[in-house]
Amino acid sequence: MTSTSNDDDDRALINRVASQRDAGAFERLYHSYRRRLGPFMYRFVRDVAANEETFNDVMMTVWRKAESYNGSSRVSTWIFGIAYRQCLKALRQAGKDPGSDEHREVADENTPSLERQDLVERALNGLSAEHRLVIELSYFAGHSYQEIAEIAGCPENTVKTRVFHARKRLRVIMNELGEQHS
Amino acid sequence: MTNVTEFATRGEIEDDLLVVDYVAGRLTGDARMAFETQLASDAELRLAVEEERQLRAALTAAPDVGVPPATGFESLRDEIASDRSPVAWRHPSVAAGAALIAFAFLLALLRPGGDTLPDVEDAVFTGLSENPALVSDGNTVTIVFAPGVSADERADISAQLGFTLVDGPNAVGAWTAVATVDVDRETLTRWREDPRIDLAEPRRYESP
Repeated sequence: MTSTSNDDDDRALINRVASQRDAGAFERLYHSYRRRLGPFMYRFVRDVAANEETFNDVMMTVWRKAESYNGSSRVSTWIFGIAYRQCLKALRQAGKDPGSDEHREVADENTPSLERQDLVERALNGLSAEHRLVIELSYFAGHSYQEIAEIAGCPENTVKTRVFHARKRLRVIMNELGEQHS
Repeated sequence: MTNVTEFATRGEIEDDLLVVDYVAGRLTGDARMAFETQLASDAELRLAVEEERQLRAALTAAPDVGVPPATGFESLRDEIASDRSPVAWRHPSVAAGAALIAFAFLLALLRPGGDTLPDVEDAVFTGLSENPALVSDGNTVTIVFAPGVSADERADISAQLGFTLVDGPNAVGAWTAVATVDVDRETLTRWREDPRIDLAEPRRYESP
C-alpha cells in the first residue's frame, strides 16, 4: 500500500495531472485512493453519504492543486493532509467539534452482537480524533511518524506520544468490550 | 471506560514504539539486530511483542468500511472536463503572471479586515520551512491559530507574542514562525494559554 513503487506510480500520475490535465491519470488516482483514503475519512465523518461527498471534495482539490505538489513528501502524505483538513471542515460544517468527544460513537452495552471486527470498530470509535488519526495513519495507511507529523501539522515527538497513548487506550477499550461480550 | 492518562517519559515512549516498529517490519539493520538480541533474553519484551502482534492483527483485519463507490467518479467527470486547460507554469510569461497573482493573493490576505485562514480550496500547499536557514536558529515554532483568526489578527498576535510568520499555512493550516523572543517553557506556556492560538510547538529538525 505504501511501497516506493506505489509512490513512484502516484508521482507519475500526479505529474500528468499537473502538467497535462490528464483526466485518465486523475481517474486512476481517484480509484487508487478510494480504498486507501475512504475508510480513513469515514472514521472521522461517520456518515456514508457525507464521506462520499467529502472524498470527492478531496479529490477535486487534488485535481485543482496538483501543480502545487512540490515532491518533498510522498504523494499519499500530501493527499492525506488535504483529506484530514477536509474532514475537520466537514465535521465543523455538520456542527460537530472534531476536538470533542461529542461525535464519537461509544460502546453500547446493550448491543447484543459483538463480533471481533465490530469490537475493533467500536474500540477505534472510542478514541479521540487525534488518537484515531495517528492509529489510522500508522496502522492502516502505513505512514511513518514523520509523515504523520506533516499530515497532522505537529512535531514528530507529539505523534509518537499520541501513538503510545492511543495504543494503551485501544487495549483498555478492547479488553473492556471483550469482557462485556463474554 | 478507563481513562489512560498516566505520565510516560520520552524513553518509555521510544522503547514502546520500538515494539510497534519491530512488529510492523519498520525496524531494520543494526536496530533490528539489537532488538532481537534483547528479545531473546527478555520475557517481558516477548510478551509486549506478542500483544502488539495481536493488536495489529485485529486492527489490520478490519473490513474496508467507508470505501466510496467506483461510480462516484462519474459525478466529477463534467467538472474536470470543463477544467482541463494545460498548466504551463514553466513558460516565462505564465510564470510572471503567476507571480503577480500570488502577490495579489498575499496582499488580499494582508489587507485590513482580511479573511480568515484560507480554506482548503484556497490553501497554499507549500512545505513548511524547506529552507534550512529558517530553522538554523532553533527558534522555529509551529503555530496553528484558532478558527476565525483573521490575517490582521495574526499580524497583531505575532507582534504581541513575539514571533514572525515565515511560511504557511500548510495543508492542515499550520504556520511556521520564527520567535523574536527566547522560546523557553514560560514563553510556550504564555502562547498556548492565548485563546487565539490552538497549537504552539517548537520545531526540531534532525540532520539528514
